[in-house]
Amino acid sequence: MKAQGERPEPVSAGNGTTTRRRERLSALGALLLTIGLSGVANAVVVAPHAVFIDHRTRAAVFYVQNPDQVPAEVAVELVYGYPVSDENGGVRVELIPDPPADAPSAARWVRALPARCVVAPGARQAIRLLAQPPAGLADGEYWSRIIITSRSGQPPVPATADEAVKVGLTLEMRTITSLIYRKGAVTTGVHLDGFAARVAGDSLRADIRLGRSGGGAFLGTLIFALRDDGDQRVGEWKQAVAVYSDLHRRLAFPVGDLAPGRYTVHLRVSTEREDIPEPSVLPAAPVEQALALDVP
Amino acid sequence: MMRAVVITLVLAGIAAGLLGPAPCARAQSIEASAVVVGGTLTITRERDLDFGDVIRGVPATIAVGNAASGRFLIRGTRGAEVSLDFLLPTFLMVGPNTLPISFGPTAAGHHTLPQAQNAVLFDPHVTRITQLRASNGFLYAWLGGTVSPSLTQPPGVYTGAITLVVSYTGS
Repeated sequence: MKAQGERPEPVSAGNGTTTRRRERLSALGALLLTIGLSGVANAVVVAPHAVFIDHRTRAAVFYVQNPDQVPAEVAVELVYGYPVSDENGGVRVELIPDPPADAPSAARWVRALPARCVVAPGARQAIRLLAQPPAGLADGEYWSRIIITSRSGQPPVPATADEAVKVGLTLEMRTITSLIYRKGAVTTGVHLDGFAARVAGDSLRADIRLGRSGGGAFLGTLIFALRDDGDQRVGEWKQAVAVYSDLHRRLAFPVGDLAPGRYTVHLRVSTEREDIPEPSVLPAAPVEQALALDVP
Repeated sequence: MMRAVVITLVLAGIAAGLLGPAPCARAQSIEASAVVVGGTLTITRERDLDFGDVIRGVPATIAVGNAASGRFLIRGTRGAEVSLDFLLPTFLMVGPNTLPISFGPTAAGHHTLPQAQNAVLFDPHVTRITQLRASNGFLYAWLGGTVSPSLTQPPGVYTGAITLVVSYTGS
């Protein structure tokens, strides 16, 4: 088998000890890339990543931006789905194109307009979501995923008339975001069905099982705080969480070399979110638990 | 964080000089000059997976660390967890002719820095859960692969589509 070429990936100026200044420069560079000063990249920006529709307005808007220098073909599709956990405590978004009749799916009666379009270079396209729920829709929350597929309008390799065998691969980008439709008073809550933690090597490993109460999805944050026996905080970590159905998470956080002794890990599950506007997050009472850990 | 996102979007729009409505195939949009939106998710195809010309009868492999591998940049909420899925073809086509393409268990990689040599390799057939960089919300993903032309492979430009699917797991 032939190894194609001998060109190694160029080494970045960054490394594990990247300074804050270098990070800022990196961010600026990426922004310049995003706004189309490079002709190489092809990008799609989707905002916001979580859309909420109220039954009284029955409409919402999200934006697809094409910061590239070539047109982008964009397709929008709605499919019922939500995040589910796997046997390893990971999470994936499960799409259910044909959900059972009793599933709280909004995918069948929310339309995206336009569902397909070409976004010009540098332009931003508003995609309107219009809901036409069935008559007599019960109060509650209804869910869907918004699938935004984008690809460059230019062929990757031009056709040739020679005898060569060429390969032209089109790389498409697909973003899956969430849609929540609410009618009437909707509540949510979360309960902690299991919490275990241990220190293994240089990591704090946590195993969490969460359940949901109420009719709405629980959108919140897992906040872990590790304290030593003098109640000094050793570390704190946050992880956004969405509980649509029973959820099992296994998470690992770096703690470095901990001195031997007794520690306490505090877990707080609350509706704090930095990435979703506060009015869109259903309030719920926080849940907290603490565990003692011995580090030999 | 929210403010940073808005500023980024507005700066991008101003710099591109195109804050007006986008031309589109079916619908018109009406946009304000400043729009407050929540968190964003951006995928940038930085580089195509480029096999170039291939030799008949000789499989050609591009590894993650090769400069010809495909590279994506994902940007979003700092430290957020995302899932990565690749939708992969098994063959490429030109007219009625096909060219097999395959992706091994280390054909994909990800890293929060643009350093393919340090990427965490994974099987692109399996969903990968990872996190955007805590300091800037960046994540790079690479994809290599192998094409296997036969000795009698007809000439032409064999095409196919590879799709990277990115989703936040926390919303």
